[in-house]
Amino acid sequence: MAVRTQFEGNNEIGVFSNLTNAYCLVGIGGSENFYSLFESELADQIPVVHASIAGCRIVGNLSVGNRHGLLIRRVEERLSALGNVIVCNDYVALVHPDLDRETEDILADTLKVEVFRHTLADNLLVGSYSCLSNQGGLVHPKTTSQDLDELSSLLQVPLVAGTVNRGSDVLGAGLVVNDWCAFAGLDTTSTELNVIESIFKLRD
Amino acid sequence: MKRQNQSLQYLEQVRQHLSRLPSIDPNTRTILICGFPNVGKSSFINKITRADVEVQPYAFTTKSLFVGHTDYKYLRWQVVDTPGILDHPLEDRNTIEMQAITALAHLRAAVLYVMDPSEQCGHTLDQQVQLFENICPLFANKPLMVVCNKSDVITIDELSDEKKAALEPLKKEGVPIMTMSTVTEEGVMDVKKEACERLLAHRVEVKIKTRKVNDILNRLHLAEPVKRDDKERPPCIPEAARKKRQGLASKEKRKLERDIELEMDEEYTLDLKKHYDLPDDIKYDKIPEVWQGHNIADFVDPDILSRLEELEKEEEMREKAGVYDSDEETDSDYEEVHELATKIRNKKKIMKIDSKLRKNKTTATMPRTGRAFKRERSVSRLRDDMEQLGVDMSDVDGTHFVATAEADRSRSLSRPRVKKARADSEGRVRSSSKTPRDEVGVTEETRLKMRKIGRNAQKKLAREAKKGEADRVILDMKPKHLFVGKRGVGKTTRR
Repeated sequence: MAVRTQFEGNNEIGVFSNLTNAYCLVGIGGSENFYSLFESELADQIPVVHASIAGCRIVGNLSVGNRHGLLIRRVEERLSALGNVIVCNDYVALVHPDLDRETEDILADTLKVEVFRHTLADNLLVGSYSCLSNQGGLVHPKTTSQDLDELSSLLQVPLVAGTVNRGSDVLGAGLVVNDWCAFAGLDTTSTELNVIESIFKLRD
Repeated sequence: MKRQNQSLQYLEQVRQHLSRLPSIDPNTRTILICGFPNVGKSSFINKITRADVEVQPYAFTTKSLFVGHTDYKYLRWQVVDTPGILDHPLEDRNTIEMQAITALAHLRAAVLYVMDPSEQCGHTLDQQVQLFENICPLFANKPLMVVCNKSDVITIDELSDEKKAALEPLKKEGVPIMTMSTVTEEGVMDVKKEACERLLAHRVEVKIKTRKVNDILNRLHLAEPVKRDDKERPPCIPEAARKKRQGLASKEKRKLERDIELEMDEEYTLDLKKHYDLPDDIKYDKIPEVWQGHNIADFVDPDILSRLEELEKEEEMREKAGVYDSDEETDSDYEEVHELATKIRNKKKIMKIDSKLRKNKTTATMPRTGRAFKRERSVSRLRDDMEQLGVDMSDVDGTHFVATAEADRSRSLSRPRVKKARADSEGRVRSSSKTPRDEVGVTEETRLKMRKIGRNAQKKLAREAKKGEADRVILDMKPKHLFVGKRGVGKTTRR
């Protein structure tokens, strides 16, 4: 099931939340509207937790995680916003080509994933421009068909190029998904929502 | 002018004719109906659209182009009815026929060539095929169909062999032949469907050949993974989620954080510790993160409870031994604080009375600007006041008021620029990931050029302080300096 929502008038909900198959982090906002939406959808299945990282509520940008664990920035790492430079599901991860070797090792160990360095349609920020679950993935709309095929074989999930929030290509910010649920920005059109529901297999 | 009279009149005729023409969109999906006069072209358009073209049983009932619109696959289709065409050379054609010919030549449309096998229109089947072959060059690169109308009178199968033979050349060219009857409406919808399908396929084919298609094709492409190893990667959906999806979960509504927030209204504070995995009695205990420069986490002791017990025992023993019996020092400390507090309270009371007295005054309250300037706030006064209140003012190095007094007063720093919220035609931009409207679809170069043009266009308006091009207001119709005073010699013109 895919739901549209907004964080304090902002459609980039992926910035303020981090959804995995085992837990869900939600940034602390001025009111509980945003949190309660996640709570009502997910609280009987997985813990939904208020969180802040270094006093910031942009938990989605600053962290990356899956069923096996959660990673936040290392002090030595130059690319500090892990949510922007890493995208992963429970088995594979796609990372920014310039990510530290050590961070990559930690990533592989903690999250138990295979790590691939890659770009998406000439964008280095793979975490911002894609969204991944164990059942499917949505990537930057300008990714070519060959790239899609190649990536899909690498990640072992079906992929499609698409948009959220009425044509925004920043998928990682506009959309959070796990294996049975998705949340998209309020501007997302029904066409986009349909694509999301079918690629992530959220329908019965 | 008189010599040009004839040409001008002709021009006027042309103008009137053009103004009566229906508006035909040359770029949209179009179905064009043509054929001999009186074969049922207008009946067909009347059946599939609401154009309401006049139908009469004589030739050239339709004297100009008619346009109707129909729906198929949720798309709008434009159907153009043309006047009948007779079979003779182009030079001999009259203006009515020429309209059909020009429409055929210039519109990129699906062409329906309507025929009448029953020959009720007054032309033999041979003639009709002949005409088809003559105007064939006009059909190049267009989806084409031949429609045999009036199947209620005679169908193709019932035709004599000779007539069937006449249709042979059409079949040879690979033109599909369909039958319909506009009277019984049999086959009308099939013809429309087939024509639309063919035109749609044709248009898609043309579009795929263009350069732009790659941008869209990749979005329609679903990449399926090729297996690279034998590892299983199953999705991980908890049982509760699965049940919920199947509608088996209990429908009981959970009390959400938002409900609590609404209930408590002003008094609500976010309780971050509510869902801690600790027993309720110690869940809310306060733990400082850093204490006296040490990170608590570094000193966490697993057997702290037993040690605490030990300490408590020791404490008890001390109490029994009477270690805490004398408390002289604390008393003197306490007294000092108490004295200070009384001082403060007294001062407050005095201030309160002062202000009450001031409020009772009968004179008008003047704004601060109205009064003569008197310096009220000064470092020395602050010092005096505070000392009077009992605050120790000996160690004030590095405080704000000292720093301010010492600071160079010659010039204040200018305020930093306020960061503006980005806005576009939709008002404040919600999604900052959305490209602004003036940057979408143009190169950087063109955008800059366009901005320059836009600015130049504003120049004149800005100089005259107009709100926009519709602003024609004249602020002063009779400027005083031009209308008062006596007029001397020659002053009127100057005014």
